[in-house]
Amino acid sequence: MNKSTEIFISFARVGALTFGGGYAMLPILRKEVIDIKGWISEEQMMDSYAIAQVSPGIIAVNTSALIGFQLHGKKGAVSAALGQVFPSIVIITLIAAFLQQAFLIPVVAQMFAAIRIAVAVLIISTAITLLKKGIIDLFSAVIFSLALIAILGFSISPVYIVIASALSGFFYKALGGKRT
Amino acid sequence: MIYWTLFWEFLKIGLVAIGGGLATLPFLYDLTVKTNWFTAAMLVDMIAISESTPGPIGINMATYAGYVTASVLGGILASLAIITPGVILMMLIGKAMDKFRNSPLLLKVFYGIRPAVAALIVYAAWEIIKVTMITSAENLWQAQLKFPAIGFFLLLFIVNKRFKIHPVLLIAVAAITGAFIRF
Repeated sequence: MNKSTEIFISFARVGALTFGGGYAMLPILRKEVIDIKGWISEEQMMDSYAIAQVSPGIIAVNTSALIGFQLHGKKGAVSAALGQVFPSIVIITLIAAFLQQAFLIPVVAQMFAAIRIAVAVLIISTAITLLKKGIIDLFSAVIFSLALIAILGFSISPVYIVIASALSGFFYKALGGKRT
Repeated sequence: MIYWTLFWEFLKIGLVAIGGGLATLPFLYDLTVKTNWFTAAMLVDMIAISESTPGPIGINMATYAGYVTASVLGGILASLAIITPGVILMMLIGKAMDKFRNSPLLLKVFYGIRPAVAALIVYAAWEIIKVTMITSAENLWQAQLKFPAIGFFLLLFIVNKRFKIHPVLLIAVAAITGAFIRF
């Protein structure tokens, strides 16, 4: 199979299976591009996600485009982004055209309540994995704690949190933190 | 021409909306004021449907809003427009990353970012725990735990950890269970 087509299909699968926003995508993305395809490393996924987070646009699409670029250049970026949005466009168009009323049926609402619990399981499992990858020493533990306090306690935008942590990581390392 | 205006408006949203999820929402509200494409009340329905269907919320919202405005082609154009600025930017950043892949500078920056991303995801986990397993209340300490949901959560968590099943299978199992049991 053509590389671009392969990327498109993989990311279409991720798009079709992600319920909820950017965070909910990570467990599915991991399964597809790390566990199944072995295309990138866990660190590469986190870095791409962080960059997407501070960039304008849709986080999930930007993450996909950046990973796609690392796999197959510009063609890879476009294939990944289009793959990611393809299922959404199809599903939403069908719903908008025919199915709007279905979401008012109680049993459907009930099913979605249960799906959200499954999504919680997936996100928490991903959080545990990423905690192990992200917190490797005392300094990263401090950044983790400060970031968590900033967002939980003060509702500071993730954009600023990512920028601040990038700067602090840079200055810490630049000022000789390597010795630790 | 409606298609061109639609494309242009969503291109602009893609350029300024930072933060994901419902970050596009304020700009869509703005469109309800500026244009007569759709109303604010319709936006609420769009959010509910966007959040309960697969795919990124921002794309779902764009497709929906585009469809309401100019049918099938409108939905496609709005979605493509909203992703265009981000995708171009990612290509530029990807190129820069290739060049500096092993540069110490980049490694230093990412060293700081990774724990922060972990924190953001813990936060996301907490938000979804609140929505699914705790009944809403004014204050957190007045809130009550939804025990059936917590039980189901633990069950799924153990199954997921033990058997490493595909995320979709987990979602499917939950959907089927949800058809019979109310959480």
